[in-house]
Amino acid sequence: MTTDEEEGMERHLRAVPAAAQAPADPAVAMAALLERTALGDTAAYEELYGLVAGAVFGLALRIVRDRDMAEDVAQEALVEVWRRAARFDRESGTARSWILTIAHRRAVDRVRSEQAHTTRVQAQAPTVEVDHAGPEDVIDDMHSEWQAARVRAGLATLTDRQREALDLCFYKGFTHREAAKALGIPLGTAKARIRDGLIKLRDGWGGER
Amino acid sequence: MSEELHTLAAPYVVDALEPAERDAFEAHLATCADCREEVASLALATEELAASHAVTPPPSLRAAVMAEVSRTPQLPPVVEPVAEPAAEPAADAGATADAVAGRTAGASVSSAAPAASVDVVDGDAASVTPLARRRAGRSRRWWIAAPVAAVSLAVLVVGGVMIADARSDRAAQQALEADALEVAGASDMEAMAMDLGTGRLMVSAETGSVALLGSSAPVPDEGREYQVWLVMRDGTVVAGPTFTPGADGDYLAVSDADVAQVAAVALTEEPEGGSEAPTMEPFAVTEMPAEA
Repeated sequence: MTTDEEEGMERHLRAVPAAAQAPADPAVAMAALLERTALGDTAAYEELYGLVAGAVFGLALRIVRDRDMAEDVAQEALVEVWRRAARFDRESGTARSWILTIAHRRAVDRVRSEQAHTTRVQAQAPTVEVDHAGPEDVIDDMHSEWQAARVRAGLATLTDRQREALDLCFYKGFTHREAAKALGIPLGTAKARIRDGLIKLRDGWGGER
Repeated sequence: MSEELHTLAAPYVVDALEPAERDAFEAHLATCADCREEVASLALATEELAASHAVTPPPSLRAAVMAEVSRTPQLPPVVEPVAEPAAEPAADAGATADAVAGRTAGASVSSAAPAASVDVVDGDAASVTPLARRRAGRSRRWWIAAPVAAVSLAVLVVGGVMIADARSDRAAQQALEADALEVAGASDMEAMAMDLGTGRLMVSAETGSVALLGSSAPVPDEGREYQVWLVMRDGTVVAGPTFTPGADGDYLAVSDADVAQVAAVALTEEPEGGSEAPTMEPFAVTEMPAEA
């Protein structure tokens, strides 16, 4: 691990516990920065950039799997954060979540259009082999080992089927309908697996805080 | 029905809804506290997942972003599409391109255009083109060919409701949302661009209906409404529902239709309450794919 990475990890460790924290919570600071950004404060935006750009780029990279494309997606997402900052609502979630949602959506949209996704998925017969992503695969390019361990621990609590459904939708850009088709399961089952998986992750991670 | 809608929260949180479905669910979200709560709660998990991949971004990213930001206007806190500057920067290139494609070609445009879907949601996408400028040359051809006089055919007015109007009948609104979701969720659903703000037309033979959903639509003049027209393959024109966009330009309209027989869906501005036959040439026309 390089020095850079170690520094990055330490930064991250300090920034991780987002929910049940003292008032000096980085999540609160991030929300404040985003709110100042909404007023056109470019200094606040640049500070915010420093806090989220790594996560935004990393998420984009994890999904589009190509550095140039990931940079492009990250740029779009980060500019959109600037543009839409005034639409952020503290009441409905954290700033980080709001920003990563924008990034995730951009990345997924990119994957869907780039790969002629619809055609690809429609061509998939119900029995066609699906990437049965185990925990290792899901976290293969994860930066922080501590984060990786945490996520691995969470993912390990999922059933294979939950993990599979989440992997297709969250990381591979499948719609729930496409995932159901690819897995050969009813739509309702696909939706339930995604939901159950998220709940298990949420509860598991929440408990560690 | 709200239970059915509720099940979309999880796929929504992982961005696994079709664009049209996503729009419909977000419209529902605005009126359903339970779903908002579910989404916020599940998002705690996706936030951790999403944040767990952080890597040092290339240095070029910061420079590119800051340069782009310096020439990118920000949206105001309240959705107000009219205040949007005409020239949208690169971040919206996709949405704009999508809208333009729909506008000039008047033909089917894939709903999967990447940047468009994000923007459609909040109703602040590309600039609004004045109605007068939006008539697609190509639409004229077949519209004129359609015998307007033959409208005496079944006139169905299913009803349109503005999404954002809190005063509107909640039950009616939810029924409309449910109808739209039914179309969006149909296995044979096809989505096309509709040139009214950032509009999307969804058709499904399975549900026998067409749904029109969009945002950033200009509000029609006082005393006038938009009206949907179904141009049938035999040339007849069937009156569809009327609707008025909400303050933020969101709109939603659903109409029953013999989808296989629909050649195109057109929009006009009509006096409040709608007309039995169109009183103007349509400002937006979307033709069905050849073998819809």
